[in-house]
Amino acid sequence: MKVIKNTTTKGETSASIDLFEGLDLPKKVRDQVSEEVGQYLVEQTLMDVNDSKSPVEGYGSFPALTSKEYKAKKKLEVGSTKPDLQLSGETLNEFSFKVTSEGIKIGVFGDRAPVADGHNNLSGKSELPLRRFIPGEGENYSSNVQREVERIIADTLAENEVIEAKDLADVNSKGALYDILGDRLGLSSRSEIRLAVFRNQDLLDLLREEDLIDYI
Amino acid sequence: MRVKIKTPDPKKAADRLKGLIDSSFVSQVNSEVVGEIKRLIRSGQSPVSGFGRFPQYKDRKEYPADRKSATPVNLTLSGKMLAQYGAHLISKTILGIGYDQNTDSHLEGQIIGNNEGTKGIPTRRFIPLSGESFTVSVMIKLKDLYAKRISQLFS
Repeated sequence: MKVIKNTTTKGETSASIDLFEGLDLPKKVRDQVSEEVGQYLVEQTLMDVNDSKSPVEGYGSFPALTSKEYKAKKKLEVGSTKPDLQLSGETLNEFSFKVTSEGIKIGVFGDRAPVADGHNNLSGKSELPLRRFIPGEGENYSSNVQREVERIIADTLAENEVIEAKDLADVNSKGALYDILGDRLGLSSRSEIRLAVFRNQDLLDLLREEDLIDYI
Repeated sequence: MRVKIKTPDPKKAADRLKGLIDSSFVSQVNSEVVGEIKRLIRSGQSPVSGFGRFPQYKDRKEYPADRKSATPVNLTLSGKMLAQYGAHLISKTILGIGYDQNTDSHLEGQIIGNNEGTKGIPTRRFIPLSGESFTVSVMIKLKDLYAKRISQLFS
């Protein structure tokens, strides 16, 4: 998962994310992965923002409100002074994702896009305190979010039968099996590969049919 | 969500799966899955796929006024309704998530009113109805717990 580009216009403040670096997959599978990952990232981002923290690695908690006028306005209108980017709630209502050929675009699409850039400063022109909830080019989501995205991708690939009997024909050791599964599912840890197998009925069946289940 | 397991020895598998859901599993679901559901709700999002952010209050001065913060819309005033939301053991192979027969009866109208919408209150779905499912964030945690449990029973 790699942020390859940011867009900051009047109607869009977003990050384009490549989800398929090095993976050659049918469009149907790519679209399914993009849909699931997009939904997951929107949900996780909104939860982190509500907890006043950035979902982007290295940014930590959002700085407290500093402007006395804004603080008073927020207290009056919302009843809280928490730095959670919610005065009217409209900016976060426009936070969503779009499926692209590389993966997804995630961000604020609509009239509130300039407000989102004010908080994220992806354009480099904002003077507001930085509260980044859309990753910049080259940045990553927090490690637990990245791990779950890897799981979503691996599960979707397993569901779509990217592994066939012929791929397993030469397997004669535990190491060889884990190497192939890891490569096809985009996972490196053996415990993650094992769980991905147990989450997928077809893959479990295939390993049983090929008499390889004891390696798992 | 149904969990299907194909095996060359269905009887042996069925015996092992008789203990699939026990109090320890329910406790894990409460901590990890229901915890994630409540975190979604607290952030103003429906934990049910396809419903997105909860609709905003129509007139903040009327409700919530000064009784609570106007954002996010999070189904929390006293906190009693969400406090009773949880995972429940229905049988050794069926798990329930939501409210069971031990829920305070006076909360029933509030739960159904919010979940399905009622006069003057928009639908803010927090328990999936038949044919609906939880969002990706919730399903990942639920599938993961099932995978770990099944892996444990079969190893």
